[in-house]
Amino acid sequence: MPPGLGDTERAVASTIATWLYPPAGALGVSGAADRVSVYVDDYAARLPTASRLQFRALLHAMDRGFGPWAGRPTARLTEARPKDVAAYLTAWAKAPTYTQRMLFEGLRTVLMMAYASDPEVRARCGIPWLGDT
Amino acid sequence: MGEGPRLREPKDHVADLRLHCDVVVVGSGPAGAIAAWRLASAGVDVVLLEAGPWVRTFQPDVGRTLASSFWDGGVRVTRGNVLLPTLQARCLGGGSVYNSAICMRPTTGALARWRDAHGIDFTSGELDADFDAVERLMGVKPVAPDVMGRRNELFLEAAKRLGWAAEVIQRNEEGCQGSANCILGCRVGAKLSMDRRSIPEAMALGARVVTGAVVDRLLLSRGRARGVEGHLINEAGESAHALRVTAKATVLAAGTIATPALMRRSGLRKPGIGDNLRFHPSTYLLGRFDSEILPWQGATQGAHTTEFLDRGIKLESLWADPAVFSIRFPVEGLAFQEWMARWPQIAVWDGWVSGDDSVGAVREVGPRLDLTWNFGARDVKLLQETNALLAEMFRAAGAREVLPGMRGLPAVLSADDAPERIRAARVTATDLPTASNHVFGATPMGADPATAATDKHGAVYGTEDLYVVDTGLFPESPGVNPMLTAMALAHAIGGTVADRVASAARAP
Repeated sequence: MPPGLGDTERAVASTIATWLYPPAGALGVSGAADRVSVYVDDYAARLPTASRLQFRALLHAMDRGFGPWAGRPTARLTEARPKDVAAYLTAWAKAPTYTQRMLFEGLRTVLMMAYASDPEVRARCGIPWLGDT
Repeated sequence: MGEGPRLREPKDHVADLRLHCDVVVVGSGPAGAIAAWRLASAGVDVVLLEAGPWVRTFQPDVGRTLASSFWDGGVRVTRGNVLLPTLQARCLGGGSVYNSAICMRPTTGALARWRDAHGIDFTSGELDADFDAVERLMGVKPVAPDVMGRRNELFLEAAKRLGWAAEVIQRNEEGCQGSANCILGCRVGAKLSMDRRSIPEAMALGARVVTGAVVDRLLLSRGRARGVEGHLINEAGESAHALRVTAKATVLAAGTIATPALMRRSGLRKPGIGDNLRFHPSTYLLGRFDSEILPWQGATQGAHTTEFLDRGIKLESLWADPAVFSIRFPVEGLAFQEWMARWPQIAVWDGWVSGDDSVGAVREVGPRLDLTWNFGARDVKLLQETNALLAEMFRAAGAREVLPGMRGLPAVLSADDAPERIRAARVTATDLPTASNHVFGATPMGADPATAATDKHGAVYGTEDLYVVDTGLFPESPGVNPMLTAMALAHAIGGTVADRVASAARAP
């Protein structure tokens, strides 16, 4: 398989997953662990070239977009404080612009696949893993 | 019958491939596979081409399945006034491998519209024998009671309480165990998708099948189709060798999107080819109950309503995977995880509308597709009403809460007033999340060659020996899930093509 994500892209995915799936949640399974970024890396590697490039570009847009949003053009999502990450990602999720919301939904869907496929997450939700049956 | 192996796969693609046959069929989804089987049954030498591989191993992970077995890695969207996600499988058997196997004959109202608006008359039962033959071959039968599961049973109970017509779904399967994973294929091999039934049957009758065979263009000469050419994909996923298949007739079954794209790439750009792209815009609601539902138990889609088909609305029970539906839960992390933990008490029911007010087009920009589609205002209202009807069902079934996924409404509504709140909401196209895998209409049949792509027999206007058999033929919605109608049409057209090939062979 071709390479999936670069280091920066994995870091962006991990930063967003940490906000979406915090360790203090009811399931007690954080998105910060490698479980999400490793999955997303593998997913990206399996995508056709054009789709993979679009996906990687979206991750970079999320990372670099933090700067203008925070009024500090050189600032990046992967280096932001947790409360700023939360505010920034909430702005994407609830953006008045339809396309921006949909881009975030698309990214959230991929991260959701990563999180919801994790055996520990499924076990705590009582959801069977088809691969085991 | 033609010479050479019955099956060539990517591991066999070590050199250029040239084949000759009576009929080449492009695409192995429900329509292409049935056409190939019908042709082979009539003694015609047929070659069936499929761009994807033969997927023989069940893959339980959603992301891997989407990325590996669907065009564009499963991230295909149309552009227009909304971004509409749409999936097209890329494997032997096409969408039949990953759909819920729902088989339903078109409504009489839909066929009357085909007749009145497009001059295509199937209202007198002309296709009945084709439906019978396909249903027999594919083992179509109602979901067995022992694999219904609570999610499907509740759906039927809710419809009964509301006095709505509903029924157990009929599917092409044998030995379903109710593991609710049709979207990933079939874990136990019970779904009689094309790779398990019609294609092996066609091969037994002499059809040759080539997987990893990507068709780039039609071979056209003096107003006739002479076959196709393209390239072969090897095991490493590389495009290493050329493909050329010459034939007396060419049958296109690459799907509503790929078929017109192939025709247009080959220079066939008359009106009707690539226009009229239609979808059944769909929606789904989550309902939370006090008791356990265990939505992953039972047939993926075991029950549906027929109450609102005349209004262009169909409601169904549904399951896929938490990874697909959890997007409806609140974004905020703590609330999200609370909802994840409630999955055992949640049911998912979906609905779709006929999409009569929404239309798009298939175009190509170089090697890439450009898909447009606009979600019409009447369909937006109809889909909003679909959400309200689903909420009514959840209320009737005793749900506590409903998650509608509509912008402008809270993520979670009390089931008590959810229908009224959904109906009262002021929504536009971008406020209703929608997607669709029922796609049709982009090479429509019609009596008028100026606007339609083909005649009633799938024969392409203006090009001899070229036929379309996939759902692109539908001039409008069939009013039901499209697979069975596509298979019946392919069966009928396959018979017509077989007769014409035989007549040509007898001609002096």
